[in-house]
Amino acid sequence: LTTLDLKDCAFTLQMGGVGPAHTLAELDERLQECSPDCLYHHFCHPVLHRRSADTDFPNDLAAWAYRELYDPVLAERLSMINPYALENLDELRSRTLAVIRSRIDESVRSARESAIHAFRFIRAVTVVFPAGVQLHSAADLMRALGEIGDHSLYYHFFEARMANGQRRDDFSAWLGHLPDTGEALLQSIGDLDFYYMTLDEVRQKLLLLLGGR
Amino acid sequence: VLERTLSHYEPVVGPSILSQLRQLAEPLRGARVVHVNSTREGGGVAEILHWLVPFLGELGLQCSWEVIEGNPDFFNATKAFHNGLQGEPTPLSPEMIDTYEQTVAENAERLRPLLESADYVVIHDPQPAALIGMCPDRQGKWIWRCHIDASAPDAAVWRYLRSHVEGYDASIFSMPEFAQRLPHPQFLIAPSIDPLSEKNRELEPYEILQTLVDLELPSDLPLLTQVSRFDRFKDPLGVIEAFRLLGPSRRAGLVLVGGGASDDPEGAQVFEEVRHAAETNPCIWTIMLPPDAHRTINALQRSSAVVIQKSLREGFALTVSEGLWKSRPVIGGNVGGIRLQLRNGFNGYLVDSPEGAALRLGYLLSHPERADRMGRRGREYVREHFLLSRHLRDYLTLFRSLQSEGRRVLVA
Repeated sequence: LTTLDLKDCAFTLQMGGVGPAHTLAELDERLQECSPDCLYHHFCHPVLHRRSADTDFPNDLAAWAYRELYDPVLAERLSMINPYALENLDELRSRTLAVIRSRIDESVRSARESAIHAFRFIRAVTVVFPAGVQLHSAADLMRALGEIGDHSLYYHFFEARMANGQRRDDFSAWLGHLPDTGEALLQSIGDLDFYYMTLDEVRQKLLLLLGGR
Repeated sequence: VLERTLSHYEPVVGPSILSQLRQLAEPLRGARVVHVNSTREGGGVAEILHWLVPFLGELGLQCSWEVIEGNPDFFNATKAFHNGLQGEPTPLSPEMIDTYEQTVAENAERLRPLLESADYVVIHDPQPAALIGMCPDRQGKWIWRCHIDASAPDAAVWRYLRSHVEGYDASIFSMPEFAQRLPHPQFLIAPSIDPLSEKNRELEPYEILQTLVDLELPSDLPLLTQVSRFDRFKDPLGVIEAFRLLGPSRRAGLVLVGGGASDDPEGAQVFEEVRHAAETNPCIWTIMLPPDAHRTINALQRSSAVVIQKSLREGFALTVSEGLWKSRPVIGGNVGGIRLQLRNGFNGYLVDSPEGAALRLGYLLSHPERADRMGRRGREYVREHFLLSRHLRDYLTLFRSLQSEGRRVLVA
């Protein structure tokens, strides 16, 4: 428990097995039938490519609503669905459907708009493998944060929350087992508004918190 | 044989990316991989295989590359398949299908032992697609890799090709829009460029200048350059029209440059059409280069004010990433894989007509500082998305995920 073997991960993208959606009604229909893996990919993986948290949309559905349906209201509402604040992917599905249905009800234009470029559902298979780095202390973690790639950081800080059932990142969980970790540090990491950050920002924030421990 | 190893790429992509590739490849050590396509030189597929095969080998896989052989009738038939996949109405005659199947069968005689014993066989594009039916004792996974914009194929051509493709264990398309209804997993992998190849490596200014001198191109005019095979889907005539719309007072030169490929029988004919359309304008240069003139193309792209790829259909267009990597803004057709590489107004422009191309060309020529900024962003965009390290990672992940049996997470 006092050692953390860092992992890395890579993704392979596959077609999601449901048809494309050109309209909100079609999006509603496809969202009901798509695999939870598709939801996971479209809501959780975009952070891997976000370089600017203030201009990019945090999930693919919001970006599509903005760029292809020209519906900024819907895009903003979809942006505020934070998958990490929800219990599971079923709740993510029902929350997303609720936003889309309410938009269909309130805006005739949005309901009728047909995108030239349809939304296509994609699922990802995550392949996890050793990063070849072992951590024994918070100082090790600081060093590693300066060296590991984005995918490794993503795996331990984002994916872990959905995978370990504790809604907690791997670093906090592991630091909690080290005898000299203060409660304040764990609290600060737990309080990070990571949903509003890029991976670079998460990395910098963690380094700052660990440096000031 | 490449003279460079993966470690040469560390300054370009960073050490963590290379370490990731090595870790990811470890369980695949010794796996036998065979790639099959239809030409050793010319076109993006051959360019990619030139580095993909040795680098997969360096990562511990036993990787080889085979090329199917055929006569002009065979390549006329496969060019028809290619055009049909891209949506051109294409009548398939029984003679074409006979020629195709007979030629593939002859190649199968030569390749069968290698293909049947491989762990992973990757068949590129329609030309060798029928090999699968001629290798009944397959041991490994067979993957059909489609590099073509197959978003709206000719129905008869797709129906015929599908009869071969549906037997594969998986297929790969460059983007979701190209995927088709198939009874197996369809993976998504975008192509990529090699930043250290002759086509993309840094060049000394004197070499760039010398290339212009050798090709009798002006060094005192902003050059607008489209590099691509002479193919109607690349719309070279549309590029000439866009240049004409810029007006005679505009100080700029247009360079249309391309090379032939042994599997493309239409290139010479289209080149003649382009030359004819350009002959009355002294500011347009049409150049046919040999398929291995990579360094010349590199110099031409680097000497350009704007790189153009105004395709009407496009599987990917490596030339877009090549231009961006050289910090040039790119104007591309709003189609296929070009849409993956260009973010409108960020690193270039997507256009839907010669008028659109003329508008954006005019804008970039009058705003060189804006063009510079787009070019710089373009280089970083390619570094993140379209370099060979990402492509290698995608192949390794794909090979491993073929064992996932529907699971979302595969832990080594």
